Amino acid sequence: MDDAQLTQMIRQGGIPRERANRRLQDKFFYLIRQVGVRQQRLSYEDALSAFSDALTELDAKICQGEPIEDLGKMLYTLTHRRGVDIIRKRTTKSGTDPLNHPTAQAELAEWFLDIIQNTDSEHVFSRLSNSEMEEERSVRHKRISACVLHALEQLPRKRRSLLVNKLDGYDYEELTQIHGFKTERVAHEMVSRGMNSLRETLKTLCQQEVPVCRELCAWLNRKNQL
Amino acid sequence: MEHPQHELIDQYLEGSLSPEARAAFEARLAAEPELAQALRLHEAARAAVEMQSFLDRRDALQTRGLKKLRWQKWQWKTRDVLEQLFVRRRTDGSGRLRIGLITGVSLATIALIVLLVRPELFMGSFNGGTKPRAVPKEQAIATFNQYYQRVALPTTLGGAEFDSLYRITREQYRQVDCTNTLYNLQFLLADSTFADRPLALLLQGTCLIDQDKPVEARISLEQIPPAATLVHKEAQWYIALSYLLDEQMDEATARLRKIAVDSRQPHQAEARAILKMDQ
Repeated sequence: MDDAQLTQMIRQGGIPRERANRRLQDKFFYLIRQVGVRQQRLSYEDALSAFSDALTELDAKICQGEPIEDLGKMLYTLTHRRGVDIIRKRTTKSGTDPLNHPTAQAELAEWFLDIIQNTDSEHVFSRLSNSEMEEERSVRHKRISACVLHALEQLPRKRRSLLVNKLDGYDYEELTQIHGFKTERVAHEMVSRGMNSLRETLKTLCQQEVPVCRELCAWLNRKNQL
Repeated sequence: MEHPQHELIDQYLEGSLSPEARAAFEARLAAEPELAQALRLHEAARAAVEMQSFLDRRDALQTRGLKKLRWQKWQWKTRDVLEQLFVRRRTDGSGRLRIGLITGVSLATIALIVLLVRPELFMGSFNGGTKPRAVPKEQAIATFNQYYQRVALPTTLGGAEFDSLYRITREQYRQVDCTNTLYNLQFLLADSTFADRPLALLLQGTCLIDQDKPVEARISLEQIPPAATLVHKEAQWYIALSYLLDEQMDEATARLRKIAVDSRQPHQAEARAILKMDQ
């Protein structure tokens, strides 16, 4: 299977995307040893972590339509970068944001936030941070991410997984099979209900004035249009 | 059912609205702050799911990677150890195989395996060269006939008191008169004071072999004490031949092997020839 086929499968979404990711993981698994362990002197576990981050980033870049000529080279570069991130994280002390959500998910990596900003969610981030300093913007991004993920955590696991699968590109037929619905119409209805619940949860968090959601709520409740 | 407004927002965000519908929607957004707010809320919800999707994908890849790494790690570690042993690293990072060491270790490993599987290939060399072969049963009598010879007696041997009878008996033996020899030897061996007992037993044994009585011959020959070294070694040879005559091949071969590895045995060469150890 060549790079073009793998890229196409990832863009297709759903099951082909999962298969392509697994294929990429198997094909370039040696990068863990070559880049992480040998070049950067990371432990095998840390090197795997860097490699998994790189794979996720590559998947996101492909989905965003970024043209990638050589998947192997790109994965090599990304694995190296994520390895450097791990080394930096060890050697530098990061300041803590008092408003950060206490869960581990609030500690999102910079690269992850960069990816999110280039997806459909960019509105949420970019419009909030036009003229800010880089560091302040990063902190705000982390808070917004923590807030939306906190909202998602309020949903039942099954519903959360349904919404994630829908966004990953699974069609209603596949969702019906995966989640055991009777008909596709039920699946459609459950996705709609899930999105409604999420919206309501976000509204409730704003009403409760949860500190980590301050920026997001201010943006949501703005009276002007966009 | 989904609210029609949400469906419209979904289509707007996915870019599936026609240009006219899109323009109309954007006009509504400008005029209706509540719709704009609903759009923002929808965007935030989508952002949440999108983020969760990336996190889930990353977790799934990490979990699968950990399973794969569990085995792969040991394979890589083994390779690292082998590389450290067999590859001479240069300062520029390139490596060169240590051919000599690899060859040595390979040969030693092969030798060890062969030693474990076929130890006799190595042990044979410690037992004086070629592996001894068993004498085939069909050649037993022919071999016996080829190698059997009576004892060559010196003319000057004999005890003083029994000089006359012993001398006569030996003479009879030299003349291949086994009947009289055996008759006289009975009297000589019955006397406890007879001094040349070992040789007398040897003569008795060989005479019995001559008379085709290998079992009785062995009884006589086995009585010769090891202290009478030379006669005892001669007796061992005749015992081996008696087994050949009896066609007891396993016992004959075992006796001949003992003789073949004994450098002080006067019949070592013959035993080795019978066992084909020098071929």
